[in-house]
Amino acid sequence: MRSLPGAPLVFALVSVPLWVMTSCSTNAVAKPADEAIFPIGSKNLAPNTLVDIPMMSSPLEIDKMTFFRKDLSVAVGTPPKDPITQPIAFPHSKHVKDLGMDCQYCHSGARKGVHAGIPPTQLCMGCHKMTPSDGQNGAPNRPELEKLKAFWADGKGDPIPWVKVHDLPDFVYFSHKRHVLGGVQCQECHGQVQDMGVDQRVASLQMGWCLDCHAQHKLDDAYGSQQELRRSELKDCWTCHK
Amino acid sequence: MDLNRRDFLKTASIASAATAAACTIDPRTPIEHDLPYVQMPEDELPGTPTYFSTACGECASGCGMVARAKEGRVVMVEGNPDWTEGHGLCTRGHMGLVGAYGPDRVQGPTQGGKSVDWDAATKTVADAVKAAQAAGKSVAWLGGYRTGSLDALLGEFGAATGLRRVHWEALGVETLLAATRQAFGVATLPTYELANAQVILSFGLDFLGTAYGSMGMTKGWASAKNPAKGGFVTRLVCVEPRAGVTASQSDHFLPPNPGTELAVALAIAKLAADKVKYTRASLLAGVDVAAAATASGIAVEKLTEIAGWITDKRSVVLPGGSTNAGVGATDLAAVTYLINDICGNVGKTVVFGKEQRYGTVSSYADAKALLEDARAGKVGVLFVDGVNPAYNFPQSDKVAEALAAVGLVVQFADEANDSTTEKTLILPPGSSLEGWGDAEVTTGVATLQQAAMTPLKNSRTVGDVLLGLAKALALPEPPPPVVPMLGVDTATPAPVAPAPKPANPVAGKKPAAKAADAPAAPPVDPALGLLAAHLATASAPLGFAYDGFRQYVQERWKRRVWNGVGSFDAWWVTVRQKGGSFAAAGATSLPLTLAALPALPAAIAGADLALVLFPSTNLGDGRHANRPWAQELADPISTSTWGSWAELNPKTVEKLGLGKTDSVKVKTAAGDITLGYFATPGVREDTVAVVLGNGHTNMGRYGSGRGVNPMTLLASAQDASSGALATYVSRASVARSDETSDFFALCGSTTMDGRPIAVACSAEEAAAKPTGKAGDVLDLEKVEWDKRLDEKGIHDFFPEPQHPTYRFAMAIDLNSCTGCMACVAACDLENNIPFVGPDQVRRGRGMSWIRMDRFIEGEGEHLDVRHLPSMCQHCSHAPCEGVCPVLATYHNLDGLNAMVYNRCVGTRYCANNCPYTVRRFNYHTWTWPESMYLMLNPDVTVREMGVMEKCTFCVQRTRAVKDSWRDLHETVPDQALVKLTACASACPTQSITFGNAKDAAGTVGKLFENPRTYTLLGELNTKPGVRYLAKARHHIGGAEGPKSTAPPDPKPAEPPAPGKEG
Repeated sequence: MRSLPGAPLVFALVSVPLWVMTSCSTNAVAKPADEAIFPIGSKNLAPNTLVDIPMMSSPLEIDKMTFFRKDLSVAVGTPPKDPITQPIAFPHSKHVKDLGMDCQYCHSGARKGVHAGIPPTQLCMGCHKMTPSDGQNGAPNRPELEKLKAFWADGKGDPIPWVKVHDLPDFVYFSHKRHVLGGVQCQECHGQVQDMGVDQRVASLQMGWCLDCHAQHKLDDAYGSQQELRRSELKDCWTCHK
Repeated sequence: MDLNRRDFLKTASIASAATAAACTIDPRTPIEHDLPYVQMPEDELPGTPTYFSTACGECASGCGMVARAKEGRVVMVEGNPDWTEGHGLCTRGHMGLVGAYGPDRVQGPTQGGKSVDWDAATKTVADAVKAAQAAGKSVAWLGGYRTGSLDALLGEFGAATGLRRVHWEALGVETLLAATRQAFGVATLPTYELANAQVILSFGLDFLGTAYGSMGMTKGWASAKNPAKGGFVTRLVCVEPRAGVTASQSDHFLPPNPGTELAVALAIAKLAADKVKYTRASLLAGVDVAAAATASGIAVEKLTEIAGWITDKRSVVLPGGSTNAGVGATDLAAVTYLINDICGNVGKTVVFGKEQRYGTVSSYADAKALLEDARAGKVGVLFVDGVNPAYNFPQSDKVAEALAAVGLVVQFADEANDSTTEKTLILPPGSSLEGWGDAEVTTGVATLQQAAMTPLKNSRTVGDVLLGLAKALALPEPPPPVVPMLGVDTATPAPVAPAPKPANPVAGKKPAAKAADAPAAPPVDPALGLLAAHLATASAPLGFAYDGFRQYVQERWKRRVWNGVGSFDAWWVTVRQKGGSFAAAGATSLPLTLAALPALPAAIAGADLALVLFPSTNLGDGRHANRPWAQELADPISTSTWGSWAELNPKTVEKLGLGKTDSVKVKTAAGDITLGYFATPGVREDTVAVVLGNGHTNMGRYGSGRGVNPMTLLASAQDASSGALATYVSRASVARSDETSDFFALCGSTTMDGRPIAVACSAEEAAAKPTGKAGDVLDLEKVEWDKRLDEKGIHDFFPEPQHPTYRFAMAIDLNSCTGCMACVAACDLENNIPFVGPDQVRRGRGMSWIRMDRFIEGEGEHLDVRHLPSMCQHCSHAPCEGVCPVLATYHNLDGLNAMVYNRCVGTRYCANNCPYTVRRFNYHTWTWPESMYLMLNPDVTVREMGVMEKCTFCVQRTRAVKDSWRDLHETVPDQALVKLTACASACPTQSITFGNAKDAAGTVGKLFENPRTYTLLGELNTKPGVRYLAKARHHIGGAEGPKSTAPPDPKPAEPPAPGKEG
């Protein structure tokens, strides 16, 4: 469509009720420089797709076809092929089961905000400053802890590039606070993390999985007579979609 | 075969998934990383925004502002609710956020395209200053208005270096200052208290738009316009050649013969003085009213009537704006002060004691003299700060030559602009969101600018650069202040409270040394001693020995603003939380000292059209031209985007034989420009108005080469008394050009065609009946068709939706809506709405969720311009919902018309079926430059090609506020909702109110029962969640309101009588 010269193309926005936006001119052609200044992420949908499908010569072409809206249509909940590896093989079981730490000691945003939060390196070092790990002078050799200390570098290091295990799409609003305060246990979504070494995703995180719980999970008693209302709210698209 | 729809879709999706897999698309979510802090700032909660009260730095007004930062990046700016001098934030203020993430910002100090490090740059400047001083050349400063700490620092720096300071702005206030000097003997600018003014007579001041201090005046006007507040609706009379944002709100638009505004003012002064038996009537003895009426073309009867209004009721007469840019502008402003004195307004609506502050103000003559000296090679170093001389000066001033002849031009700018040359040393001061500073608004009201995020580039504020230069130049420190030793003995701590930074000798060491020398004094309350010491340092010079400008600002506030009582640290915390100190000084009066009156002016001579330049509402004097969202915002009057245009009266257009796509060539002796035109009755037949703001040669990727610069048309004429640049002096020939126009208006039509869209009612009725039943003062036959349907027993096809707790709704008061576009700007930024560029806007693909409809009806005195912000109406019976084949849009429990982007397949049925045309379709996946992605609001999905979108009532905000109140198991109270949405929060007149319509006692619930309330296209029975309150006008669409006290309209009503609902 961009390449069509000549008469102004009047689309839905400008054509419907005449009292608004009846475009008053023009046959001006945009300056050539504008192509570079206003780059458009993808070509037009309809004409190009119609042309592209029969002309598609290799599978790679699909990638270019905006028709698929790749970033929206990726299978969010497909379980990963291989177990996730992290920059530091952080053992949840050690901290939760063996040491008895509460989830929210590290993930302190869980009951306060939308993100549970990955703890700052500072918090790890609060304890691990004291933990010998270099294998010198009879101290145990703990290579993973050495990695942590390297990331810390006296507070001047880089952030630890943890790989996201539970990654919701960007169009989803999810508040940890609402779920934790509503009485949902961490394990209901995250699995038995206390038994895991490096955390792995166990739930599909697909919409159907969310909705099953929204339809059936016991509601906080505090809703009282509003239980039914709350239940229907939980099934509203705009509860999660943003 | 028995295959239902769901099964079919399932099968189809499996097939397509298989194809996808075969085509080696990895179906897994791409790997993303979570990067936690290494050391987390205290109180940071990832995902939860931090709010900083700060000051807007986009112009010299220094309005209070709140910056919302998420994970260390400011993603939204809004008005500061604690700030007393205005509501919301204007369009240009919002665009400051876009500027901060501009892709054309320089990375750091730059000269000739090469980056320089800060130490080297400082040394270069210091050496150049020394060399200039040694060679006997001047070191000069050409800048915009600076108030507060930067003005103070510049003062001390200037005194120590012999800096020649010129502070000039294209839309400056020098004529007004000169006029106050003439009329009252002081060079300050009074504040105008419009809230109590029943009549406002404006001689061109765009106090609802681009004037400095407009936010305060807009707030006052909105209050005076609200019949529920004072029981009256203010009457606005505008005497100016072109109807901009302000004059489009006028009840009486009286453009006199070009250049004769002064004659109108003199005549009104004379008539008013005669009426009230003014004590100094002798001053006006020489004024010939009849001659003035003849000269101006406004009948004596009309002038008498105006004189009657302003003397009978509390009034205010305002000078300024484009009218006040002619030769004799100062005289005109002085006469308006005289009229104010005659009407007894001085001290009541024209208030001294709390003057508007603009720091040091120079005239155009000063700036021109500086440029002339520069051209003569007499300037060694020129600092250019916040102005763009190569753009804003007439061509005859040969700015480029002047800049080339300067030894070193140091430009404080984040982006290169028209004034940048290869030789220029650019020192980026950073956005106002990145550095510390402050601004004085009026006496006693100062806003504090906090750094709301770490600088994105290697920038330093102007203050920091000056402090660094002072160090490099080894400027002498001022002598320490002499502190009286009242009650200070050795047992008392150092008088000036514990120094927050030991590096600060002024605050810490010196007073303490004094204390040691002090003779034994009788025991006095130590607190009193501290206070005395504080008072002694309050006016002492601050010096340059600070770690940075932040510390300088703090020390200056400690000495100049803090009253010395209690703990400074505690006070400083409060100031930072509130965003400044808002203790407005009391109103005082001044005696008029005007000694003589100017003679009657001659009209601007010549056979052609008189030329008026007006600033763009969205681009100001041109400084915001590289902000793509600002470029794409429609102009409130022409609704043009991305370019320049001339405004011509339709009759002139006819006379010139202009076709729709023709452009015009505007020519004066100084130069000519060719541009598109907009036909509006808001300009006189013998006038052409040209917009300022575009036409840059070098203004980044979005500002360069768009439109034309009307400064080309100006000769360098001056107002004799103030030395201001006179822009309203010449006539220009206007002729059809062969070039095709690139003018484009979003609202192609100017008329409502007689339908009740933006409804108006009689101001008198509205004032008489401020409360009552909805639609009481309106013609219900026309605007409430749904009620008639009910009465006739015609029932709804759709069941009534259930809203158990909330019915989110909005009331928009058209009465005080000025069409200023602040709501659109705020909505664009809050909701990640892309700009699409001129080509796509022309194709009707602009994405703004709010469309500012503009209707221009009537003409001449009864010009009737109405604005109607139209966004998704969140109908209870929404026509869009039923036609969606995939249920991507539906009505939810909160009364919102929800739009689920993922579900949308882009059929556009909904947009076609929406009677309000408020849905926007993504014809493309719009992209931003890399740096602008940082600005995106993470709470709102970024949409892509093929998806429909529209106003969500800021669902991310309603969701967040519901979430906070759910913690307490409570319903969100009215107060938490009123200004919740971005548009409501931005509105400078508080015309937009958000709330829960289920709460009948709430703000919106009450407004829905206002006598002026109606629903848009009510006959369609869509039951919208947005309702409008009719505009209250003293004249409606060329016809008289029923109970108007004004004389009957001489003109018969036009046949279709558009907008004659009252």
